[in-house]
Amino acid sequence: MYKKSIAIRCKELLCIPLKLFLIMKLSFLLCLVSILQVSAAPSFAQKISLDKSNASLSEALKEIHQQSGFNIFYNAKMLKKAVPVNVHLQNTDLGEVLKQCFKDQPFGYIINNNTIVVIPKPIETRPVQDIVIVGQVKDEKGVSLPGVTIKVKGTNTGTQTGVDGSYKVSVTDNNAVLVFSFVGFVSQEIPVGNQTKIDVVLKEKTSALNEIVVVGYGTQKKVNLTGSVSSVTGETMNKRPVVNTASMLEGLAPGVQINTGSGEPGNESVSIRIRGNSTFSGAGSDPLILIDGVPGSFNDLNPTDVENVSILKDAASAAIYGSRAANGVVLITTKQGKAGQMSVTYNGNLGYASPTKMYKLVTNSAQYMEMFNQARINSGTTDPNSLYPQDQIDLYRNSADKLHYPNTDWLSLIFRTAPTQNHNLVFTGGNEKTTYNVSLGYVNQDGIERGFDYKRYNARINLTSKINDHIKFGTNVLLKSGTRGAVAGTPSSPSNWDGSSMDLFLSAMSQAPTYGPYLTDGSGHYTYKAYDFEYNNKNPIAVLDQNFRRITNDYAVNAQGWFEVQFNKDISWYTKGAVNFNMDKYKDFKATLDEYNFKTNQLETSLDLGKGLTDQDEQTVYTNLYSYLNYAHNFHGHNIKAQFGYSIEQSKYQYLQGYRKNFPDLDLQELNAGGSDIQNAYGTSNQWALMSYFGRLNYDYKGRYLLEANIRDDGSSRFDGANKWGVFPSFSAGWRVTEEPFVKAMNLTWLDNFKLRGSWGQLGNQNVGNYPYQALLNLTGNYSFDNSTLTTGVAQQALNNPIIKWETTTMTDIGLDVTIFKNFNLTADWYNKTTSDILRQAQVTAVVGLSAPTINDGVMNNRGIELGLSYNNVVSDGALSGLAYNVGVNVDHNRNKLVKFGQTEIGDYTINQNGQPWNSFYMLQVTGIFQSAAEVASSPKQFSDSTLPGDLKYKDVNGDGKIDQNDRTIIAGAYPKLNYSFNLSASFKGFDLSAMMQGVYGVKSYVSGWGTIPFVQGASPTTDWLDAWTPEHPSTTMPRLYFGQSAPDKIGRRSSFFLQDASYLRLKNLVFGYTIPSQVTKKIGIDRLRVYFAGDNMFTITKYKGLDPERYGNGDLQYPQNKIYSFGVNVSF
Amino acid sequence: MKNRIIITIILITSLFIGACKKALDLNPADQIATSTFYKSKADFDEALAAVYASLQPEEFAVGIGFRDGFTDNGYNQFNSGSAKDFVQGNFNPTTGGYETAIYNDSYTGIARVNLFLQNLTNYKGADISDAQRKVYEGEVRFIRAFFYFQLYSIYGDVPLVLQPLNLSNQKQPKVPAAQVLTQITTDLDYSISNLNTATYYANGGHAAASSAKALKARVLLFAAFGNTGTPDPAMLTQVRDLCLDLMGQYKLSTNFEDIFRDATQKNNTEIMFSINFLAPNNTAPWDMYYGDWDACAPLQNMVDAFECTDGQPYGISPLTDPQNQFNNRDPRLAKTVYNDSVYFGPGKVHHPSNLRPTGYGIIKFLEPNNIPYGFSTLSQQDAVILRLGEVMLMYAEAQNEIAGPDATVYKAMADLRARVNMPAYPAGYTQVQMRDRIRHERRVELAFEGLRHYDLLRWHIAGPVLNAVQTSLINYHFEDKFYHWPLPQTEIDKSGGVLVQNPDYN
Repeated sequence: MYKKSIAIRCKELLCIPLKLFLIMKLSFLLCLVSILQVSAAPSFAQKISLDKSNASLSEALKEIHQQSGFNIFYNAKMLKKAVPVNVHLQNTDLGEVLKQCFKDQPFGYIINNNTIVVIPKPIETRPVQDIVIVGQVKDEKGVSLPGVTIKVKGTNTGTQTGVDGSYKVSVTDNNAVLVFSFVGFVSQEIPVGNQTKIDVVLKEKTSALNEIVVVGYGTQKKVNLTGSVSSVTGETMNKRPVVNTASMLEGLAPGVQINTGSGEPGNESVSIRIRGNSTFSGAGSDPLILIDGVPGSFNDLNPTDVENVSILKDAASAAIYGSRAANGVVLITTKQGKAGQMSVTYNGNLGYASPTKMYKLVTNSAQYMEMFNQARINSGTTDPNSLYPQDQIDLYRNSADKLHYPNTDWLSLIFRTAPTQNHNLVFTGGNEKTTYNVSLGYVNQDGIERGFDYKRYNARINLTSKINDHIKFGTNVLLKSGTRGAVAGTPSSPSNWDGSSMDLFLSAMSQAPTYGPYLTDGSGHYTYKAYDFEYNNKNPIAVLDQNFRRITNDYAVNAQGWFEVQFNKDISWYTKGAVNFNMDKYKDFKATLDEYNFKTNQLETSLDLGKGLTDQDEQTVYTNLYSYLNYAHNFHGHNIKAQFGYSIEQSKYQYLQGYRKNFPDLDLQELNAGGSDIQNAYGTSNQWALMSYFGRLNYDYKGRYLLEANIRDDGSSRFDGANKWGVFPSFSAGWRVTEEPFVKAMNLTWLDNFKLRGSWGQLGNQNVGNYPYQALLNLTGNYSFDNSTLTTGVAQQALNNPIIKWETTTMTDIGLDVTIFKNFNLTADWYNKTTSDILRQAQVTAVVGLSAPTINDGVMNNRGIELGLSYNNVVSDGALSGLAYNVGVNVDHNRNKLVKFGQTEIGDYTINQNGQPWNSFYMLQVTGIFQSAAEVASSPKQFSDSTLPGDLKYKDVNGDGKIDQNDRTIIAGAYPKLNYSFNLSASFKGFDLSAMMQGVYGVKSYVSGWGTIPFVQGASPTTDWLDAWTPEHPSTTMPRLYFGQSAPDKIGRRSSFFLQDASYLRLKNLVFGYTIPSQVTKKIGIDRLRVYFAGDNMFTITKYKGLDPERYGNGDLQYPQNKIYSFGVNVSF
Repeated sequence: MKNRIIITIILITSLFIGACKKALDLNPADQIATSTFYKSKADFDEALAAVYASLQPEEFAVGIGFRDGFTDNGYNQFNSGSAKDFVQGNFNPTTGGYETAIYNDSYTGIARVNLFLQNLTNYKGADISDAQRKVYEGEVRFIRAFFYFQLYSIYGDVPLVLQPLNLSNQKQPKVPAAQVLTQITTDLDYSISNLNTATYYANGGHAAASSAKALKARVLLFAAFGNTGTPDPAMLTQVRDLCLDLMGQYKLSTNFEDIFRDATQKNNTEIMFSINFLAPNNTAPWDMYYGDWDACAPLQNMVDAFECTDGQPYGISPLTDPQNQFNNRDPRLAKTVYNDSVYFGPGKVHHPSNLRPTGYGIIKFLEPNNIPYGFSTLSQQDAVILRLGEVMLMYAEAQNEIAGPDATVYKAMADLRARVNMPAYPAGYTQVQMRDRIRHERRVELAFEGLRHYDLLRWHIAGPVLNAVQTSLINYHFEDKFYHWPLPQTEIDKSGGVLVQNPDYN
């Protein structure tokens, strides 16, 4: 009977997959003990006679050994604790004899085959009333897990799940905690509480070894990857309480530089650069963004819906997207439903944003007036009618009447702390056949600059259904409606970026502190100036009050339908069809603004900011159909996978714009309400199409040698004839050294994975105008001969280039993936990326009289290294038992070089020259400030300036004894030397903490104008200028004060004085959360309740003197970045 | 069931694939392919409009006032055209502004003319008569001459392009200025012989023979002085004869200001050629630039140049009123310059939104009916390029140089001044005295019409005049090399050594 029972157990074990066998082995002993205890009186063939009084146990056992022939093992030392044996049995069953011998002994015993093992006796449990708990354990995909160990915490009792994942366990009281553990999965502890049925979903451990990575048209095991792919989970991204989804990727992947240009709601100008700027052409360096396989926009996406983001960085992984993959590919997958009861999750947070930094301006009127006078005099204006009289300065300084003599801080009038709220509701569930994931999202973000805000509604419905075992189909539908409010912009500008946030900002900067926004007479009239000679821009408060707004509505509908057929074990077929509909509408309204004198209350000017209503509709309809066959076959350690597919895409864009100028009633803001005397209408449409064939071949031998080849053949409507089609191949190989038998033989237990990989491939870029090869005449040059009618003009404006073709990027990548001590991962890559046949404007001489055609010319190179390190661990004992933590570092370095640009082109303060980075800084170098007339006299003459002590001293770079434009020189810093980030996350006893620091090193930004140069349009100087050079205070850092734009050239020339170090390191994100124990929340019907605090851009270490070193490029003021403190809650029902 | 589904899917998919074969052949919906144009006279009329429209860029039209910011007349506070860099002597091949704009936009216009002529030659349609062909050719060659004169007068030697160019022949060397001049006069002679002999104002806005004559007179007057400031009498004789001819055909506008105001430009008997604008879709920001921004502020010495009503210089005349500078002055002062704010009478007042750096602004080009001026003001004043006033001054100047201050010289000046009720010159001037008066008269009559710069160059007095300017906000510095502007550095670079920079700019 005993033997039989063992046999049955073994059979069961064999049914379980091999990997489970290992765990079974571990718990073997435990099983046997329990089996023995269950079988109350085992009977054996052997009969034994034993007659002992006060004998030692060892003596008795010896006797049993001799009679039965069973081997008996015991620890002699242990046996000293035995009590004397009194047994008097004749011809009795072995089991009964042993039972008698061990009665009252502090030991137990185990019988295995012909062996008896003496073991310490298990501690007896108190006989209390047991609570029986039942339940089922599944993995995240809803598959039952057999063999999961369930232990009652702190005891030796426990059980395992059966074949269907179900279990039954007894506990002694409500305070018991069940521990569910299984190899390859994260252990879970569940307090019993009042429950009698506990179903558990175990999460698979994401160790680098079993991670699945999304790649082009499929997935791939991370260990088998031969290309360079970074993967970020939706969960990691969603830690940041920001609204823009692309911003959330910042600092999370090496080699992926994400820069959030501004904090303007709905208009963050996020730039994504994968391995640098790969081209200088208008084709651009933006990566291809795919949402569930179809091109889409980050802006349309609700970040909550993101399951995973894969970034394809090298040619091998991106080549399957061919002609649009030159700048890398970002693959976003959205969350799918999970079988099981419907779960409802609510995530919400409320945040408060303020500028990360604000200019410190001189806001004391008397101080402003004195500096104003000084700057005017230094700039050559000595006319007393253009200077503040001393008695007025004294009044501002001494008068208690701050109504009439204010110290207005204009920036504080337009900047504020602004709330952002974010609510998401997710429903997920389904049955074996059909699953769903439905989400609703709402964001309402007020801008820290008044007049700017953004609202977004999102909905997503993802459905998957199995028709039968072979056919699956599904739909992914995204709906989005966004509304962006901004201050009105320039009516003729069709671009989204109209700079109106900057315009309002500079208008506030340009105001003098000597007056407030409104007159003091209570009329509510807006102030123009206090003194005629003051300079300023429009009154920003008037613009805000008058509601001169541009309201942009953007709607998106992305609908996808797909199906997958599994013909047999080896062959499957996948097809997806998608339609993306995007519509952007805006209305921009302005009227004239009456502004009055602060002192006299008289009307001074009716400001005309370009009045009227512009109403614009833009829409894009994009369709895509792709279909591919997959084949996979394994034999004798050879694994072959092949894929072949086809794709067709079309996109049509159209826009329509109407304008009327004069509106009798300012509240009626529709075109029909405007006068028809001055009106305009514009509209056009264009389209492109792309047809492609693609294929992939994978081969590996025992996971040791990995090979992959990709190819894509793209046909584009943008090119003609032989150039219409372009082929983009890639090859890659990997060697998993740790899979080699000789390495395995070395038994390096610490080395879990060591993989070398290399790839080479070519990618394309076709992002030129839609009809670049055609010779076209433009409807341009209308002219009125008779001053009453306008004759339409037609002219050729550009040369054409019928032989235009693809821009080609060739990339080589060598990488290394290492995992040691299970938890420590390293990924390193070196790459060399060269873009040739760049689609640039030809350098055409002006005498041709036509603008340049786009031609294929120029070569640019990017080379760099990337490093990603991570360590994760769970502390399993000690006081910190249960502490799970993860630390990571990403670092990358990229070097950009123009290999072949053609003729050097010098811009305002940049240069493009062969051998140098694209758009390198090029300007005069400032070596200091002249301290004395003698120093001026002994230094090279600077242009035709009348240089004075206190002026900037330029370096005579070419040593010709004079300073002129020939002394301009290249200054490094156009691109960062290093991008880096650190992240940390930890969880312990319901608390979780995560932090991310992100930094950029070695980059400069050219900044002049408002906020740098004093008195630009009258703008208050920053407080730095209190330290300006004067004979009494000979500063070595700040030159003499001059008056803004009328300052002499000697101070305003493009020079390194205005080039600032924009390196920074900042605490990008900090999250601290607490999950309330579920035994507490269950009482109110909540499965999980987590509350958290999240902070963003909390502090920054930088030498940058302007607002925020993270900005979208050079130039003046930019909308500041947000520092956010937010509080949120996650609830699951 | 399973098979049915699969077959359906295959059918739908292949339908899609089959239907999209033509998908890659797409054409724009709002542009015309070259191959479908130039098929009728109407097409040539549209192409002709685009040739005229190539005259509309700022530096040839609304920016004529800014050209005076390169002289002792005005101060371009926003550095329009890079005038501040120029007058301060910080002028080099990379300065940009009008240095590149005039070069680039002239060749853009020349290219339109050359393409027009090429297509006209290729066109065999009968709907264009031989006579019409000649008129077309005459008009566009007049415009080509205008552009080459722009190039000739400020750069000297430039590439001479008479055929459409492409990428293979785009690198063109300079030709000597004399050859450019020959081309200009050849083009203008063709226009004079083939264009309508009616006056410009009766010619529907198209260039007339008289327009070409007036331009030719200006070109020859400029050329006559060469590089020394000493005129060539033969050329001056031609100038005189052309002017005489025109003076017989045109009449002075009764009111000086009518020449520049919108409503009175139409059929104005003084205008010989203008670059036209029409609101709301074809406008030029005259009122915003000059009336609201004060983008070109007259210098005090320009204001002082206007005589008192007795014909005596301001400051010397007993009528001088330092308390009210505009009192007792040549009426052209108040019609050219405003003091602090624009004033056309009660209710017609505009306070410029920008400061008046010199205290003055230009009123000459402003339209009273457009007040208040601002960003959305739609100004449609025409840029008057050639007018009788200038022709009379050219006549007087040429005749005085050839024959001395004879009665016809006196009469031309007396007629011009009589329009604004200014007294005739006193009798008995020597040639030199008369020369000075005529030159002074040009500065006042033609102030801010963009001609002062040419005058300083051809008289070869730019150095002494500009280096003496004390009334600006910036320090003037003129070097002799500035008599010819540098060619834009980008052009030198792109030509790969074919185009050679002007002397002293390397």
